[in-house]
Amino acid sequence: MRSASVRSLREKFFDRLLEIAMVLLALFVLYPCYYMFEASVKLPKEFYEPLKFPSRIYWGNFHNVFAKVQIGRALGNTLLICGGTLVLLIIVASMAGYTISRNRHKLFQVLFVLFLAGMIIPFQTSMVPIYKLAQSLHLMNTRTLLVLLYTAGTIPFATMIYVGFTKGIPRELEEAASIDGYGPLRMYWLIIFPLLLPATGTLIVTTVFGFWNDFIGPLLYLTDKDKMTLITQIFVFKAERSSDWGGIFALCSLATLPLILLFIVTQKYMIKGLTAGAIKG
Amino acid sequence: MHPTRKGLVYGIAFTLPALIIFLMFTFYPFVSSLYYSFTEWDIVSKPKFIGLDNYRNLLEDKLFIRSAVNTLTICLFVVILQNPLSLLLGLVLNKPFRSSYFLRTAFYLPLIVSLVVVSVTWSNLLQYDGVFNELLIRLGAENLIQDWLGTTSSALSSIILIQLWYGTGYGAVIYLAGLQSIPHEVYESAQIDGAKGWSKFRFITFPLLMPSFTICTFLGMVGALKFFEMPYIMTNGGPGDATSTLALVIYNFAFKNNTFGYATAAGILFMIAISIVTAFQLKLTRSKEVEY
Amino acid sequence: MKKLLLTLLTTSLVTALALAGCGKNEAGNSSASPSGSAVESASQSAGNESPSASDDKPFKLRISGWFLTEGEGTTDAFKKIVEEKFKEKYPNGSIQWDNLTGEKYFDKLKAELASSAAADIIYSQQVPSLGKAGYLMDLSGEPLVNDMVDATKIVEAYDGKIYGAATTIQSFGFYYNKKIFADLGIAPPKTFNELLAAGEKLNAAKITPITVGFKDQWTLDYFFGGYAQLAEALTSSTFEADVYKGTQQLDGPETKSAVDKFTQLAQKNMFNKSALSIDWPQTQIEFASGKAAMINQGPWMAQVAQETFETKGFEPFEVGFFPLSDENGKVIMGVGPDHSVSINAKTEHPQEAKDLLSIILSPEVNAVHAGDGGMSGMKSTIIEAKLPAMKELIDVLNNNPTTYQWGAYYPPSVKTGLLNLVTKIIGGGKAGGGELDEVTKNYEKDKSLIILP
Repeated sequence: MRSASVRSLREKFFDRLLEIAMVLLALFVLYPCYYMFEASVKLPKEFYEPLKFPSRIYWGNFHNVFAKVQIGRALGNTLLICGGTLVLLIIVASMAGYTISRNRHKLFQVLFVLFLAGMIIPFQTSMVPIYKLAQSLHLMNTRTLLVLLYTAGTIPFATMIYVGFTKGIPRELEEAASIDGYGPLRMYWLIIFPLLLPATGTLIVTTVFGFWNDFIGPLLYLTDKDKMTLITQIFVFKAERSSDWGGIFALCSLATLPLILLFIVTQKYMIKGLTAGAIKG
Repeated sequence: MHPTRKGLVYGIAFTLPALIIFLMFTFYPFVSSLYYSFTEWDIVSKPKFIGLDNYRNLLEDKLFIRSAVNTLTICLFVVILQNPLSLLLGLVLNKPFRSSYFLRTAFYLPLIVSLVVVSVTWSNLLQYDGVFNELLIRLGAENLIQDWLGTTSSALSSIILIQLWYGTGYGAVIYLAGLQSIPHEVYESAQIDGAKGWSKFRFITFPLLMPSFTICTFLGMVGALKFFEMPYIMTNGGPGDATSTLALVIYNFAFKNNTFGYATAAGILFMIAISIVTAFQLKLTRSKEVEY
Repeated sequence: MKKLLLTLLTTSLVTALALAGCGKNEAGNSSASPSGSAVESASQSAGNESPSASDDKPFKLRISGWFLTEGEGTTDAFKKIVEEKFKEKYPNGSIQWDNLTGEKYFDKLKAELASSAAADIIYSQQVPSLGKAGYLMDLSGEPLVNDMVDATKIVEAYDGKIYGAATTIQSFGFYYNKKIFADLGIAPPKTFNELLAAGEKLNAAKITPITVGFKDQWTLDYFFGGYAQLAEALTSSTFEADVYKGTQQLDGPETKSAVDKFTQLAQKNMFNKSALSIDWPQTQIEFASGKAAMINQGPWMAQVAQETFETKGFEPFEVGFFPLSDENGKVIMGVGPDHSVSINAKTEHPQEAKDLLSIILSPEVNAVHAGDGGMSGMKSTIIEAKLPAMKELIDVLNNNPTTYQWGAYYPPSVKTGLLNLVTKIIGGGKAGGGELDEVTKNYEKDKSLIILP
C-alpha cells in the first residue's frame, strides 16, 4: 500500500516535470509565429536586431500594407473561393461518399479506388493541360476555376471521410424512412445529411486551411489583381518589395490571424473529427 | 440501398456530380498530359513524337536522380523520425495535463500557417544575420554560424528540420485521436493482467494504434514525396541541387528548361514511384492492424 | 551565313551603342522634335485610318510584364502616360496591366501562350522562340522597325521576320562606392587580379567586397555570364554558333575559366555570406548602406542607388562604374535587349494593339519608361545620361568591343546546369567533376531548342 502511494507520488512528480518540459517545448514551437507578429510591429530600423524586444509597438507596417494592398478585396476573394469550394465539395462528396459506403455494387468500389488513385497525381504535370481546359471552358482568370480545381483535388479525401462516417449510421433509419415513403433524394437530404454533420465539420476544419493557403493556383490561373487571394498577395508583395520586411510580416500576420482564430474555435471539433474520419477511412 | 436496379440508378445519380468534376479537373488533365511524355515539347511549339527517349534520358539524368535521392531522404526522415516523434507527442498530449488545451493548440498551430508564411518566416530566422545565428553568437558558438539555407552541407537538413516543426503536430493529433478511441475496458483488463509501462504500450496500445499509424505514415509519405512549396520558395532547389526534390525538378524541367515533354515523363515516373511506395507501405502496415 | 550574322550583330551593336551614347549631346536642343521621323509616320499612318468599326464599343487591351510593379515612380509614370495617350486615340479603350514581378512571370507567360490566354501586348525576353512558335504578330512591315536600334533587330527576329522591339537594352558591369574606394586608396580594378586584390583590402576593412543576391537567379546569370561571354568572345566572335556546329566545345577552356573565376571569387570571400539566400532588392540595401563596396548590375543600377538613398534614408555617396575584365585586363561588353515588347498574334484587336505598341515605343513614352537609368532600344528615344556612373558605362561601351550576352544560343537546361554548378561552389560544396559532362549531355538533348539567328 505504502509503496503504491510512493509510486503514484513519484509518478505525479514525473508528470509535472514532463508537463513543464512540454510547455517549454511548445513555446519553442510557437516562437516562429511569435517572431512573425513581433516583426510586424517592429520599427524598421530595429528589424535587423532580431533578438531585441521592440522598443514600442509600431503600427506603421500595417498602415503601409493597407495603403498598398487591397486587403479587404483580397480577403473577400479568399473567403469567396474557400466558401464556394466548401459548399460544392460538401454537396458532391457527401453524396458520393454515402453511396460508395452503402451501395455494394462493384461499380462504386471501382469508383472509390479511382478517387483514391487521384490523391497521388502530382499537380506539376497537369498544370499546362489545366490551362488549355480552362481556356476552352472560358474559365481562365475566374474564381470559379479555382473552386472547381480545389473541389476536384479534394474529392478523394472528402469522399474517404464520408465513406468512413456513413458506416456509423444505422441502416434501420433508411429502412424506416423508406417505409414512410421517402424517396432516395429526400431521404438523403432530410435524414442522412444532417447525421453526417460531424463528417462535414471534420472536412471543413481539415481542408479549409489548404484552400486558404494555396498560392500557386491563384498565381497561375488568375491574372486580374482584383481577384487575387490574400496569400498570393504576400507572394506578390514579397516579389515586389522584398526589402520591406516589416510590411511582409504585417501581411503574413494579417493572413494568418483569421486561421488561428478559426482553429482555436474549431480545435475540439477537429480532434474529434479526426478520430472518426481519418481512422475509419 | 440494396443492389437493385433502382438503387443502381440513384447510386449513379448520386456519384455523378463528384465523378464529373473529378474526371474533368483532376483526371483528364493528367491523362491528356500522358501523350506529351512521348514528345519533345517546349510548351510553345508543336510537340514532336520521340517515343521513349524522354524516359531513357531521365534514367541517366543526374539531376533527376539526385532529386529522387533528396526526396527519399526527406521521406525517410518523415517516416523514421517525424512519425515516432508524433507518436510520442500524441502519448504525452493524452495525459490529463492542466495545460493540455494549450499544448495541443501550440503543437498543431504550425500546420494551419500557410507554407508561404512558413517559408518567409523561417528563411528570415535562418538567414546569415538572423535570429538563429545571433543566438549562436550569444552562446559563444561563433564558429558554427553560417548561411543555413545557402550552404550546400546544411540546406537540406535545415529544410528537414522545418518540416519536423511543421508536420509533427499533425501526426500527434491523429495519434491522440486514436488513443482516445481505445475503449477504457481494454486498459482495465490489461491492468488486471499486470501489464505496465513499456509492455502495456508494446502489447496493447501500439497494436490498437495501428490504424492511426497506417494513416499517419501514408499521409506523411505522400506529403514528403510531393514535397514542393518549401524548397520552391526558400531555396529553389539550391545551392546547386542540394535541396532539389522530385516535384520541384519536374516543375523546373517544365518551366525553367522549357522541356515540357521531358517534365511530363518525369511526372509519370514520379507517379509510378509514389504508387509503388505507398501501396507497399499500406500493405505492410494494414497487415499489422488488429480489431478490437 | 550564321557566322556572318553573328558578326554583323556584334559590330552593329557597337554602332548602336555609340548612337545611344552620343545622342545625349544633341539632346538639349532636339528633345522637342526627336529625330525619329519613322515614329511620326507611324503614328500618322495609324491616325489616318479611322479606328476600326467597333467605334463606340468599349474594349480592353491587356499588357503583361514582369517589371510593371505598382508604386514605383518610373513605372507609375510610364503607365499613366500610356493610358493617357491611348485614351486620346481610343476614348472607348482601356488598358489592363497584368504584372507578376520577377522570374515567375516567364513561367506563367509560357502556359498562357500555350493555351491562348496571353495578353494583347506581351513583354518578354525570348522573342525569337515565341516568334518561331507563331505566338507573336509579324511586325516586319510596320514603320516602327525603322526606328529600332539596328543591332537589336537580329535578336528580335526569327527567319528574317521581326516579332518584337527592344524598348531598352542592357549591359552589365560593376558599380562601386567611390567613397569607400577613395578612403581605402583603391583604384577601379583593371584586371581580374586587381579585383581580387581590391577585395582583400575591403575584407581587411570589414566591408563586403561584392554584394550578390543569387536567390534571384538572373543576377547570377548575368554575373557568371559576364566572365563566360568574355572568354568565349576572346576565342571566337561566333563562339556559341561554333559550339552548335561542333567546332568549339561547350566544356572547353572558355567555360572552365569562367567557373574557375567564380570559384576564386567565392573562395577569396569576395561575396557576402548570405550570397545565396538574399535577393536583388536586399543587395540594393547592402550596397546603398555602404556595407558592401561593389555590385554587379545593369544600367539601371546608378538610378536605383539614388532611389535607395532617398527611400531608405542612407547617406548618399557617388557611384562609379567599371567593366568586368580577365587576368590580362581584356574587356568585351555583352549587350542585349532588356524589355522586348511584342503583339500577341491572336489578339482580337490587331489595329488597336499596333497603335498601342506605337504609343509605347514613341520617344516621349519610351523615355519615361527607361527613366534616368535606362538605355533605349529605339533610335528616336534620347536619354540624357545624368548620373556619373551612367556616363562611365556609356564611355566604356563606346571604347570597347561588344558581344551578345552569354547563353543567348544555349538551351535553358545548359544555363541552369552551369549556374547550379556555380551555386554549389558558392555554397561550399565540392564540384564532383561530372557536372560539365552532364551539361554537355543536356546540350545534346535540348539542342532543338536553340534558335540561331
